[in-house]
Parts: sequence; structure tokens; C-alpha cells
Amino acid sequence: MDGRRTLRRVSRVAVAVTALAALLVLAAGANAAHRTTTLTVWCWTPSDDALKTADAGFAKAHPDITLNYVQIKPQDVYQKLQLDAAAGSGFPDVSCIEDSHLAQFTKLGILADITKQAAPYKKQIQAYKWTQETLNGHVYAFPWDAGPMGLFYRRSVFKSAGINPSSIHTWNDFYKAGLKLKKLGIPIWLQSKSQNDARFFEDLLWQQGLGYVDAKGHVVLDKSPKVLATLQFLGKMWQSGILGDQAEWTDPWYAAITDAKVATLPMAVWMGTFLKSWLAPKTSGDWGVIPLPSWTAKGPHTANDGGSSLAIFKSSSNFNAAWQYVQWHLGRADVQAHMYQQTDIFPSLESAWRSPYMRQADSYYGGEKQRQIFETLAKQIPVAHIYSSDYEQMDSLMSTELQKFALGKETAQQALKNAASAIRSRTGRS
Amino acid sequence: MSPADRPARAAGLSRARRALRRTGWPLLFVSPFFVLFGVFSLYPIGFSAWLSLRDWSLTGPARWVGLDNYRALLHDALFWQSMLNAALLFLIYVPAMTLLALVLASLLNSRYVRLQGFWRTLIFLPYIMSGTVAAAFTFQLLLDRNSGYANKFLSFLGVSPVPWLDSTWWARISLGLLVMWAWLGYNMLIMLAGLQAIPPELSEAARVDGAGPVRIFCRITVPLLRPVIVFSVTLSIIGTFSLFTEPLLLFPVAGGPANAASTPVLQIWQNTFAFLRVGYSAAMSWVYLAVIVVIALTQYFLVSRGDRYLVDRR
Repeated sequence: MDGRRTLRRVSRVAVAVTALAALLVLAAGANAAHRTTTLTVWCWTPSDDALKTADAGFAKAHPDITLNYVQIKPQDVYQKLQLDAAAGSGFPDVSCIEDSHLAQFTKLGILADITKQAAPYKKQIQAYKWTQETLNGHVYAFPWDAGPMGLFYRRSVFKSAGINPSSIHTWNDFYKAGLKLKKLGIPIWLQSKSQNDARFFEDLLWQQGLGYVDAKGHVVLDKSPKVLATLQFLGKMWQSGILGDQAEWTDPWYAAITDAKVATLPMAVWMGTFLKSWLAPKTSGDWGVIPLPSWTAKGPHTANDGGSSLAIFKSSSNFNAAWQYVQWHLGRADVQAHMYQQTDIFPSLESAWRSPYMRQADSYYGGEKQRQIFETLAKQIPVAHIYSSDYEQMDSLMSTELQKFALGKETAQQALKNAASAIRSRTGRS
Repeated sequence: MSPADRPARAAGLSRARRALRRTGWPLLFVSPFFVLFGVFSLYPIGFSAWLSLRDWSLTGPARWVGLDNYRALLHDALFWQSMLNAALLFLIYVPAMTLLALVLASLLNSRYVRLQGFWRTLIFLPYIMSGTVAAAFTFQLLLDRNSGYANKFLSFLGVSPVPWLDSTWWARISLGLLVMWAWLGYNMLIMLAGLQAIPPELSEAARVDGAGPVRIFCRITVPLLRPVIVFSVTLSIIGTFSLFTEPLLLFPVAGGPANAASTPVLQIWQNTFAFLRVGYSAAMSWVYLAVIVVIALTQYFLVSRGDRYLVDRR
């Protein structure tokens, strides 16, 4: 009998809980019917800070749209999106996606088609960006920043080594400067042997219009003598001892940059954000920028590293508001120029380059007009096939072989052959 | 069926009802486990078997590929390398850790050591701190070749720096050290429980017969503790092959130099979530399961033969 009474009590509690839940659902529904729209935007730092610089203007123009930023690291964005794709829900309205990973998500079919909305911008934005936003003729993300690469250098270090920055035109000049710096015990650049992430190698390939695959998607890593020569050059730099053996984005790496224990950073324009904001704010004036050393006398003197886009998700019930957001933040020259001024995230929207700000001297770089240098470089970015829907996998397989090569466990030929065959068998490409 | 059967049937029914009432509530109370097990273990296991025969990238239809995934896996150098890594890692740290756990447990079980509770807590602390992530990052900082305290200390002693995270062998040793640090206390606790189950009369009798402490340890304690040691080593085998957080976070690039410290579970995770090769990694998990079962069974039969011998003698 006791059991029956307990059962009755349990069922009474259950009814109460159900009623409460129903009330809550009703309340939530009523809330949603309210006229303001809330957009959820996923992005990482410092890009989210860059986007926020435009929010005041956006709020004035669109008082009915509330923004809810969620700060997530790039790798976590991708992980979350993949799990959401598997579950079929949980997507934000808008998210930042790096160009390196964009193709993976356009292929998953979770991004909204913005072909029609983006059409007016086609000619205003750097051409190379559109190839990454497009799948089968449809545009699935709006281009934000480009990653033109230059050579950041430490003025004081160059001076004490007796190196004239304007004498560095080619990678061979870079190598010779490295030998001079070696006498001072300062590496010209840091490239880990055992923990190499292949990113610098990819940059060097990009500069020459090379990549993992060709325009048709066939793996060409082991078929190009230029790719082999590039890897051998990297090996030559390691062997001569001009490179410091330190993994990037680790505390000792940060310390080396802060404490002038490395002479140059052949990196993309966005590195400026990190330098100025927290890596080395106190070294203002001691930095300079020159174009990236080239492989031939004619150039090109840059490559692309990184870059990102904003994507709207198919699942979003606020597509129009989301498009207003994207258009305001990425499609307006004044907004983009302001963003670049605040954060060194380089606009691929070419009309933003006409801002007088682009030609101003920058005291952090010793009064150099560094933005003009990057503008010139951005126009030279070659088309290369590094990023694809299989990029994550190609990069991972290449890293492993690059590490073996750097540690002297295999030759450059073997490394490329092994990486290429692993990529072929894993991605099913020919 | 005759009418006479009816009362009997009714009685049977009410007996069944009574039995249900007697067992119904207990069943209801234990059911959450079975429901959760079904939803979160049984179903995923079945789903992964289904997936392992298909090509799927998280969205869209899963394409039937038969045994293709398993066939490709045979030639996957990285996967077999990760199996080999786990085996090497096991050899690097498990014998040392088991022995150390045994010795520490014996010390802390003897009447000669004071502050037993304090020492036990201290050794067990890394396990309950549940901070694998924090520990991995701390070890990364400590073991950095150029700026880590480990090498600074060595250079203070006049020893040349060690490439802790930068050579294939040292990467495995460093990973072993991290795992040992985290799991020593747990294994010690298991051994301690085993030791406390051994009647003290046995060692007292041996002492009366003139046996020294070392002899008692080797001839009485260790043989009687054998089932506990087998248990602890079996857990260590499974634990080593399924290491994930440690090799992911200890090195700046997951899996360490040239994948020398990558484990099967790290490979499975990478293939699922970084490369979106879900069917392929499902096949990987089944092969991984098979390998672990074979190793654990082999080890069990090799080591536990002695137990039967002991029992027979008694």
C-alpha cells in the first residue's frame, strides 16, 4: 500500500513539473515574439574586438538588432560546428571562419547561400578571396581580411649585426643576413624542427603559386621540382643554424619576440595586432616592415597566410538581420578602414584602401608607412592551392613528414613522397 | 482448458503480480543505469559498428563501402605507428610505475613509517586534482628545451640539456613521466588495499621462522598480491592505449615530434573531428578494441597462471 501512495505522490509531482515546464515554454515563446532580433556571433580574439569597433554605428542604424558575441578559439569554432552539423542544430547566426577551414564547411552544406546578396561586392573585393568563398558557383561566406605577408624586422638587432634591411630582396639575401646574425647568436627566424606545423613551408609555397594540389585538385606535392627546392632551402637554413628551434605560439616563442631574441618575423599583416597589443607594446619604434624576400628577382614579394570570412548559417531564422550585420561590418569602406586602423586586420575590401589613413606614418614601425607597404603587397598575392576542404588533413600529414625531414630521419624527396602518398590515400585524390 | 484451471491461473497471475510488486520498485530504481547505458553506450557501440562500414563526413548520407575502411586501415602507417607508440610507452613507464607503487604501498603499510595518512594523501593528490589539462601545460613549460625548469636544473648540475619534447624517444619518455606522475597514487592505493587484505599472521609466522623483510616481501607479499598487480597492470594497458588528453596537450603540435607520442585514441579523434572521416575512424576504434582485448587477455593468461598454482598448493 505504501508503494501505491508513493506512486500517487510521484505522479502528482510529475504533473506539477510538466505544468511548470509548459509555462516556461509559453513564456519563452512570448519573449521570441518581441520585436527585437538577437544575433549570435561566434568569433575569436582579436577578430571579435575588431568587429565590435563597428557595433556602435550598427546599433544606431539597426536598433532592433541585439548582438550576442561568443568568444571561441578557431579550433573550437570548427569542433563545435562539426558537432552541430552532426546534431543538426546548435549553430550561431553568424560565425568567423578562417579561409584555411572555410572549404570544409561550405562542403558540409551548413552555410547559407549569399550569392545574390554578395553580387554587388564582387568587383570591390580582392579576386583571390572569392575563390575560397565559392562552391559550384555559389557564394557561402563574405570575405573579410586578407593575410599579405611581409618581413617584420627588429631595427636594433639589424643595426648591431650591420644589416641594411633594403639589401634583403631574395631568400638568398635573407639567408646571408641570417649568417651575419648567427655570429651575434641571434636567430633570424624561429622554426621548430620537432614541432613544426608546416605553416611557414606552406607560406613559401604560396608565394610561388604552388600548393598541395593543382587547380583540378590533383596532389602535386611530389611532382614539382620547385616544391622540392623550397623544402631543401628550408633544410639548408636549418643546417646552417640560422633558424632558432622553437615552436610558434608557445610561451618561449612569445618571450623571444618580446626580448629581441629573434631578428625577423616573416609573417602576415595581422601579426601587427599581436605585436602592438600584448606581445611587444614596449618595443614601439624598434620594428620595421619590408616586403617578403622573393624567390626570383622579379618577385612576387608576398604570400598569403590566413585571412578569414563571415558566414551566415542556413539554420538561422534571422537571415535578413544576419545579412545586415555582415554587410555593415564587412561591406562598408569606412567601417573596414576603421577596423584596420584599430586592429591591423587587413581589409580585402579594396575601397577601404583609399582611406587617407593608409598613407599615414606608423610610429610603432619607426614612422614607416607600413600600411601602404601591405597594400602594395596585397595586390601581388598569387593564386595558390594550399587551402581546400582537406586542408586540415594535408597540413597534419605534411607536418609529420616535415618534422622527420628536419630531424634528419628522411630526405626532402622522401618527405614529399611520403606526404603526397599519405594525402592521396587518405583523401582519395589522385 | 477446463474451468477447474481458472482459480489456479488466477492464483498464478496474482503471484506474478505480487512478484512484480516485489521486484518492480527495485527494477525501477536500477533502471536509470540501464537506460543510460543503452542510450550512451550500447547505441553508440552499435552505431559505430554500422558506421565502420560506411563513408560519412558528419552530414549527408553515409555511403556503404563494405570493408574498405578496414582494408585502408591495414596500410595506414600513422595508425600502426600510434599502436607501436602506445606499446613502447607502456614498456617505458608501466613496469617502473607498478614497482614504485608496490614499494610505496608496502612502505606506507609498514609500521615503521610515520605520518602514513599524510604521505598517502600526498602521493594520491595528483590523481584527484583531475587537472590533466593543467598538468600537461605545466609539464610543457617545465620540459621546454630552452626555457624549462627541468633543463635549467640540469644545467645547474652540469648536465647538458635534454630535448624532452623534441626528440622522438624523449617525447615518449616525457609523456610516460607525465602519466606516471598522474597515476602513481591511484595504483598505490589499489596495492595498499590489496596489502591490507593479507593477514598479518603470514608475515609474522615467516618472521618467527627467521625470514628478513626483503624475503617476506618477495616470497609472501608479492605472490599473494599477484591478482591485485594483474588488475593494476591490465588497467594500465587499457589506459596507455587510450591516452588522449596528455599527448594532445603536452606537445605544441598534437602527437609530438613526427607523431612519436601519438596514441590510437588521438588518431581516432583526429580522424573524426579534424578530418571528418567518421566511418574510417569508427573502423579504427574497432581494430583498436580488438588489439586491446587480445593484449589484455594474453597478459591475463600469462600472469594469472601462477594464481591457480597457489590455489592448488593450498
